[in-house]
Amino acid sequence: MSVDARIARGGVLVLWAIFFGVLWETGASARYLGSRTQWIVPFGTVVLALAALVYAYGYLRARRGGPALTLREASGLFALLVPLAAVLLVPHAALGSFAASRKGNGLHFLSAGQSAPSKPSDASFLDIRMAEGDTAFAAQAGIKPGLRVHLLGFVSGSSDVPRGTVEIARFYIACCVADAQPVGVPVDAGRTFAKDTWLDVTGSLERRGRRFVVKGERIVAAKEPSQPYLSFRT
Amino acid sequence: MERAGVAAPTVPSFLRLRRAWETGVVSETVFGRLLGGFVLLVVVASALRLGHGPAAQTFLLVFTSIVIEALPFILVGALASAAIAVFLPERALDSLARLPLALQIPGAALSGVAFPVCECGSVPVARRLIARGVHPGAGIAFMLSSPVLNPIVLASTWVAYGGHARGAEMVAGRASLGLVAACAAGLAIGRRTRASDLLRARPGERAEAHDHEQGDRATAFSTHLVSDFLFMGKFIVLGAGLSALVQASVPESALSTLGGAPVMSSLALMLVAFVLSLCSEADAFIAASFTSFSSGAQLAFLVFGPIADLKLSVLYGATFRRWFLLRLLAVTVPLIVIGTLIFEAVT
Repeated sequence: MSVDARIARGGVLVLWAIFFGVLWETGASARYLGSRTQWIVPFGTVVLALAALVYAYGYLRARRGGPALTLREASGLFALLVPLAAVLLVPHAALGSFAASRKGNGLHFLSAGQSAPSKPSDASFLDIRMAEGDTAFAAQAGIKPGLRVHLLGFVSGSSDVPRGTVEIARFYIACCVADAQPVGVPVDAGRTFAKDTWLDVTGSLERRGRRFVVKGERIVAAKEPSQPYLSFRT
Repeated sequence: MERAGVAAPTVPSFLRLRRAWETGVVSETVFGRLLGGFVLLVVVASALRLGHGPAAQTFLLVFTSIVIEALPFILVGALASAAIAVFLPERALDSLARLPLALQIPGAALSGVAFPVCECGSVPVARRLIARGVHPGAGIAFMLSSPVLNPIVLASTWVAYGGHARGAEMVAGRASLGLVAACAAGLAIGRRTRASDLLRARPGERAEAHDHEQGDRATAFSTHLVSDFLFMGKFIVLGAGLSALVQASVPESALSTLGGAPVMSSLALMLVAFVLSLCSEADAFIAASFTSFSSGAQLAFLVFGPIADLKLSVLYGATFRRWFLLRLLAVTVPLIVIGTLIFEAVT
């Protein structure tokens, strides 16, 4: 007996609606989308659920039997299940040093004109990088040598840092992970760490050449945060 | 003596396979086995911790994030497409189709302002408009302009370039060059093309038309909606996979160092835009990062990305005839390069 294609189509639609609902409910969407595009998840949940309901309504009203599922259509429907399988396969996937070596250098956010942090000690990775080349921003944000900062990031393994330092970084996202860019700050830790180790660093800023370096006073290994990516302030 | 007669023509095996692929019906047993096999594959891959390596994680994250971001917009596009197919009266499009082409194409391109979805959503709408009688040139112009001219995209471009004069320059450059490219592509590709020569036939379309003819609008709407969504969705999955594969294997710096001279730098960033397959609502933030490139090359990235990229190419291949993408590139690439040179000269 053949499979009614409408039931298979409806099933895929329902699975996607459930997937978006789970992303919304659990907050797991933060692994895939930036804070500015999080609205896509509730929007997608509602629209997909409505589409599933409309389709179910159409199915119930139909006066004749539906088309049989062909091999071609079945393959397309299975293709639509691949992203769901990918999420199940690695539910806690995160970008790290490998992605940092493949992505750009995060300089694009420098031109986005992020507003200054509410207080200097809240300075983030991006604020510190912006302050390196923008004296007006540095003055406005109060970012200067001696400022105590607190940063949580992963060891990126970048070699583009002053001698004797390791870079810790976070990915910044505009819309989704496809546009994620690493932004790193060198830390004078007095020792080396394995790539991708998450570090909680407290220290004071020092100027070394054109870069700000955090002179680490307290450096402890940390767990990866539930929201591994940052977004910029506008 | 050999008997004279008509021998049954031998059908090459690949054609038989193709026919079986296209029309072969899946029985409940086969479907159950396929589904079971799929689930088993995921369970085994999970047990073997496949996908936990850094390259695999990067690939999976980029892949799923592109799909998650694009699918709701595909659905919005499918909603609009189904509404056009079922609820738009024939005469509404007839009066539009009677306008001279010189008015239809720019008019369609400008109407993209009122359709605030990214490029994934505009393809099913354009396809439906063309299928319902809108001139192919006008449909193409609408499809290419709406991801560039929509207000969200222009606002994000303004923010990405820090507002003020620089932001305004980039917004004006993007909007005007995007509009010109869309109109030129519509005119060059669609002027002498019939809808049937441009659009690929889709399996199941006859059944949708039958539902429509039966007069049950609710059924017809839901059938159009879901078949458009699922049809486009699988190609977005494929395109996102290709883009993620390139992003996980080729460093961005390797692509962006291809540029040197003005024309080369524009071409290099167009290649980067093609590979990255970014949403037009986010691409300005990436464009602004290419600080070693001229503003003209950055503009090329901004205008070309929503017109052609890896995920769109797969979508175009499924929607239009094979020659469409080649002609689209032949028209838009030189035009965008020239446009960016002019932009650099006047800014």
